[in-house]
Amino acid sequence: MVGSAVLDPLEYAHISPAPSNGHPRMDAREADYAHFVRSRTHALLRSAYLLTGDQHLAEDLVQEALARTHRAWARLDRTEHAEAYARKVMYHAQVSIWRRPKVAEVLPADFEPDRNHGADDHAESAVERLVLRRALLTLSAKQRAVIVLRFFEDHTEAEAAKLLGVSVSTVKTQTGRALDRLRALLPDLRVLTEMPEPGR
Amino acid sequence: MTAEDDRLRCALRDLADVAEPTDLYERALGCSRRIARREATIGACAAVVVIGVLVSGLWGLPHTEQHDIPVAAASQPGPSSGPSRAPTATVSRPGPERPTEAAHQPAPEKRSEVAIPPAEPSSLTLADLPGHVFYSGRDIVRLSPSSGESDVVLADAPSSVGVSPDGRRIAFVTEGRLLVSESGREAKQVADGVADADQAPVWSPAGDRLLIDAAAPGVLDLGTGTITPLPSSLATGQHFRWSGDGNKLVYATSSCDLKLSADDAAAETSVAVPGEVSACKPTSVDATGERVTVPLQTDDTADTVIDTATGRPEVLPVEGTVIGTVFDPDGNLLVRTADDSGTVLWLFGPDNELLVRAIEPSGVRDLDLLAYTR
Repeated sequence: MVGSAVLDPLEYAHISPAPSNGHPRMDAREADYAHFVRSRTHALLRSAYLLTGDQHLAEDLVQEALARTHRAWARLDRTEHAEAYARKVMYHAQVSIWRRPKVAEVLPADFEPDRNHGADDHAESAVERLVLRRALLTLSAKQRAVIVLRFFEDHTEAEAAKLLGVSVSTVKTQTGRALDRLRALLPDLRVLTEMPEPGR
Repeated sequence: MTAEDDRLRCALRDLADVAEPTDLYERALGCSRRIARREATIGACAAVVVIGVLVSGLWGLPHTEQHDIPVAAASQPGPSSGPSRAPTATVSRPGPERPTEAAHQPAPEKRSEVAIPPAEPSSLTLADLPGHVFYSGRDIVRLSPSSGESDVVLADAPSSVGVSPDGRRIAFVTEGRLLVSESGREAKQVADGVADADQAPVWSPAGDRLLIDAAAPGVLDLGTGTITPLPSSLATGQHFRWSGDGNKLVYATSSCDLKLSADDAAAETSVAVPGEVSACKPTSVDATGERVTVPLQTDDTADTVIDTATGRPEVLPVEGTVIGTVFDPDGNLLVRTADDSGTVLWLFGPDNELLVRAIEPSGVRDLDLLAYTR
């Protein structure tokens, strides 16, 4: 579909031939890219984990986003632009037709939180994370994306719509349906955490 | 901002902490190189195809594949099946492998990755859109291109509604009751015990029947009030849509297989959509059942046109990101695109000729494309 792709491949030679000392020599742009990857990968992985529910799938998603960013690196003059680009690629890839089935498996019967697993706070938190992860995986890819964009990355509806390439109305609709679903699975979301973060 | 929102934010941050730090630099570089090689291969293949077409002399051949042309339903001649003036004939076609004599374009490959140039329209004026455009959001909104004005035709609408082919009536389900709203009149109940989760009320091309889910998929005759169940072989289908000539039904199965049924379900074919694509919800069909719109990038609003013979997404000769596609019963295809400057409506006629390309009024930009009617 014309114009639907966000990626415009750009040629970019990244590693020059090995110098006499035997180690690959990076040029300045490549060094910038390496710094960007190593400083921002974990932040991207955190979002990707929420989108996929799995460490390995999250790594695959971020790897693809970083690779696409590398292809476009020559015209991404600032690090914040690069991160925005990588995130856009990541979200598009996650909700695109080709990756849609790639989320961690979850069974409906898995939903009941087993609070007997641990009496201490640590175990309790682990159970709550597991329950939320499973609940997120019951959402559609688009619904999960809007939840992460709106409530994890704190984007506005307009920002989320622009990033996903959909209308604000779609973001509102998907967010509403996703929250309805989460409320049904996690009544009042009370199971998630007991105390709201102060100041928000 | 509610306490519930805050709790969700906290919980998401807590869950994100599970992600372990990993150095992906080398993996990303390797992936980047593979992408580069793939792009180089695709580019070389495309060049070979174009050169082959040029050398073979197909460039200037007149179009003779009559069977590939979706013909508007002869039984449904709408007064507005095209703009009032004769269109010029120098356009590309949205349907790949369907070159016109006027287009003089080599047939593009039928793959979504290959771009084709945007078509040139006969008109750039919104007022030349002959029908009405309907949008959904919290309300159902109708855009009248002739005036450029939009008005709410159904406030607080449920998620599944059906707009009649003439654009004058809207069918919807509330608490199991099937209601029909006609402009300026109070909604009238026409059936009970109707579900809409997997089947929005769908109007027949003539506007005299509604395909609904009443325990099982069936057709309600609005004149008599009788509901005739669909043949048993179609009982498990969902999201049924009529072709413009009324002879075919396109629907999906619960496992997201796309099906085409003709001759009262005597002939049924599967539309094999390639790859991992899930075409779970057909939203409109062209006049003859050759093409169907489905949401692939979204959950609800169709953004893709699928060729029912091949199952492949068609390459649309438009610019920007496609955010909406819908056929009217006459076979006209309305495409909605978005870019940084706003949203644009593209109307292709049944012969795939671009009739109108016009900037969409800003008042409907935040809504989703629902229907295009006479």
